[in-house]
Amino acid sequence: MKNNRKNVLFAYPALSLLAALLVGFSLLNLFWPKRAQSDLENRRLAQLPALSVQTLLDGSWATGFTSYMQDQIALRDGWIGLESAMNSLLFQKAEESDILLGKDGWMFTKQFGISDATQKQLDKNVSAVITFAQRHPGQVSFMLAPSASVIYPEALPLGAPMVDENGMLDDIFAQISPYAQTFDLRATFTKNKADYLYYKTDHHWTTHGAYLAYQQLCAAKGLTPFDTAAHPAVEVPGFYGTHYSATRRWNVVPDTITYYPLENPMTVYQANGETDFSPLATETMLSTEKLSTRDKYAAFLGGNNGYSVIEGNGTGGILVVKDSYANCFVPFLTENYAKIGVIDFRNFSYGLDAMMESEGYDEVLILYNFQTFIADTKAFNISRPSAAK
Amino acid sequence: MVFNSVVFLFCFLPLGLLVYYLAPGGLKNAVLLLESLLFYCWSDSRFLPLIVVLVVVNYLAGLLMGSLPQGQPARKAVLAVAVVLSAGALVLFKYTAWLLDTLSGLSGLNLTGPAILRLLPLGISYYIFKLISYVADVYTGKIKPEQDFIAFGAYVVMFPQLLVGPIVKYRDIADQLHTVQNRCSLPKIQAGAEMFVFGLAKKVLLADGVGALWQGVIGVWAGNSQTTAGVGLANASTPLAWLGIIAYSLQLYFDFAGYSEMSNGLSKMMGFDCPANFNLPYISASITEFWRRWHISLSSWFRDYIYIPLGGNRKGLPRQILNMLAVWALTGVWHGANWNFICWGLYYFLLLTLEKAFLLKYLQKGRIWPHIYTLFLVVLGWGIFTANSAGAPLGLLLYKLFVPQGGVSALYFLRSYGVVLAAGIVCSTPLPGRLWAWAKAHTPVRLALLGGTAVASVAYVVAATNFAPLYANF
Repeated sequence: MKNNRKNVLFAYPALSLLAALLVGFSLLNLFWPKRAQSDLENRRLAQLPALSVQTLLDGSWATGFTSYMQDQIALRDGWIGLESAMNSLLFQKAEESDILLGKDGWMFTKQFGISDATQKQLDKNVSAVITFAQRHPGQVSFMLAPSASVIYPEALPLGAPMVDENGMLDDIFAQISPYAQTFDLRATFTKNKADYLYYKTDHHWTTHGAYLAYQQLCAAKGLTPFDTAAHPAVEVPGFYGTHYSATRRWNVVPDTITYYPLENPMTVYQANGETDFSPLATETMLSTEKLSTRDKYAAFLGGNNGYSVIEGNGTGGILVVKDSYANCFVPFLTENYAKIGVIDFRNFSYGLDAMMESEGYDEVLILYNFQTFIADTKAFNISRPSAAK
Repeated sequence: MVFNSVVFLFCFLPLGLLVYYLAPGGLKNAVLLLESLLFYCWSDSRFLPLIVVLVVVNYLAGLLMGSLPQGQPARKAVLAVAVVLSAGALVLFKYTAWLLDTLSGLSGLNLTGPAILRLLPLGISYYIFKLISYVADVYTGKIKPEQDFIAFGAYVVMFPQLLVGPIVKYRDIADQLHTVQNRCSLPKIQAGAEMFVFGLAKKVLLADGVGALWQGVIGVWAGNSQTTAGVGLANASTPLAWLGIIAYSLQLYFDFAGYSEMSNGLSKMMGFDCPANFNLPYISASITEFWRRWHISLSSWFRDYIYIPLGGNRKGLPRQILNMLAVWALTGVWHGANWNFICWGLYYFLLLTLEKAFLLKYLQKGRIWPHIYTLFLVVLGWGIFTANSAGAPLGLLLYKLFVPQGGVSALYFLRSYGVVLAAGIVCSTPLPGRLWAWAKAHTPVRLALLGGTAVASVAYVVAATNFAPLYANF
């Protein structure tokens, strides 16, 4: 009998191999530990759906089970790493999951065109900013950070047909500048491009990039900038950002995050209404525990809270309306203002007119990155008229 | 459920095969039928009653025709009823929305019809053609009617062929449906498993890989709204437009040929030998030859059940051309309710008529130019074929292809997709087949190739988001 089995194995080697792979891996997969979250992909993974007659009949159980199998497959991270390595090494592809794999370890958000929907959204966001600035003449500043690919075009893959972001930035600034003070960072960044301005593995700018932008703001407003020489910087190596999560580039070189430890308290509020806020928690601006996780950038300002207030060491109040680019920028403002309010419209859905008065903000800084600003579906809230009026 | 998903590969497939192999010979058809119904209803059971009714109707029609003597007019009546019901269901579910929209456009009325008629029932284009081939073959006496309802049901809904065919005729697998002992043999299972692995690789490595190029040009669309912007066909240069439709041609081929190969591999593992659906179509030296190598199960269906019953080439040249016109208009329409598919069908009608009239004898004398001629026209044909998809309107595509112009260059796409394009081109030739034939005699090479392909394909299945087969839309 044993001899007979051995013969089958040799007579049908290909079948033996494939059967072993199929059965072996299916069994391994069955007993493989299931995860709630994929740290590398930075998302929740599908769980085994609850079984009921209703979900079986309407097909939702099957759909859920399909996602569950896909997300919980044994060695998932390894499979995705293998796919990415094959794309790079075997197929020599210059992109992975909508991220361009540039020279010297650079990774850039792929933007080959602007869809009609995005163009509409951009027009809407620009006019919302203009409407808001018209309502608050002399109080509004608008800063739009360019994409890394605009500052380092030579690091793009050969011939990458990127959208004309320079032209679009020119156009956005030209539209907004009659109504608000605008900050175009391209000249500053290009002049200092030898510095470490953007992360290579993440879609954000570095703390140094943010500092250069902050310096430009101070120069225009006649403020004395935060003195980096007087504050010891802390460096956290081993940062694998969102671009790495998307691409799993096999030869990735991790980034280093820099921060300045500051004691200024930050209070996160829950918004119950336009001018009705209740405090949730008070802590410092940096969640140091996040620095030991993969998503290290989330340490800044505790992520994207709807409304938070920081006590600064300067005078006056400034309201920063922002995306996550501002998270490593805002700490510098403690040098110049007494009260810094921070609004992230992804988690805040009221207009600003009434709260500016009640909370005592006499300046507003709108700070976005180009990629977010053109597609953000919540930013238009900025021009939402006050319900109280 | 698509074959290129984790749930199919590591849950449905091993369990399905296990139960099928363990089942005694007499129960294998019942197991296949149940597994196929589960596969069909996996995420949507709304159209289950439709397929059940059609299977019952055609089964009864077969029995009825079998009980009537050859030549009796009642036989014809039974055939007519079965065909009208089956074809009627296809027209109702596949074309009503389009007919209503076209009528609305012409009349200015707002005709919408019930929402259910705007959904394409899974696999309807394929199983209805299987049913019609069955009743037609019973009618002409080519086959005896199937007595066993379970066996008939298993033939129609067998899960390997349910979503995108191939349209395997009952007569091709009737014997194996009735093989009770030793239906599945180890050599067959081995051959089937190898076929499945290479089919999967064609789909996930080549088709999906090269398909991203065309998406980079026209963007990613969900219906009529763009979810990811590409460079935009309007901005593309002429070389990029050509590169784009060449990539689309390779994608369509490997997508469908890969899926057909997976299907035939699965069938073989379950004991059914089904004819190949593709035979290296891009090495053809004429359009006539191309259509003998591309989607063979569909062209042979049209030949057997439309062209020959209409008289084929036996009633003089004018009638033959008319018959060809009917076949090609229907072939176009079969792919979907859209004007571009009809144009595409008529395009081939014209080309095939020209070849039949005089061109073929010159083509047969040539060596290189017939291949260039064929590839050029086939690629252009796929341009017309895909022109219903958002982002690639036909007028703009033709303007980009034939009016030389600048714009976004092809450089980046050649750089990023050059290797996968080259792999696709090589895999469109007989070379890999020859390599595999050689490797089969060298066990270590064979195992390395097979194991490597299987592991690599699984990596792409896990990393991707289950791109459904393109032909599931037709």
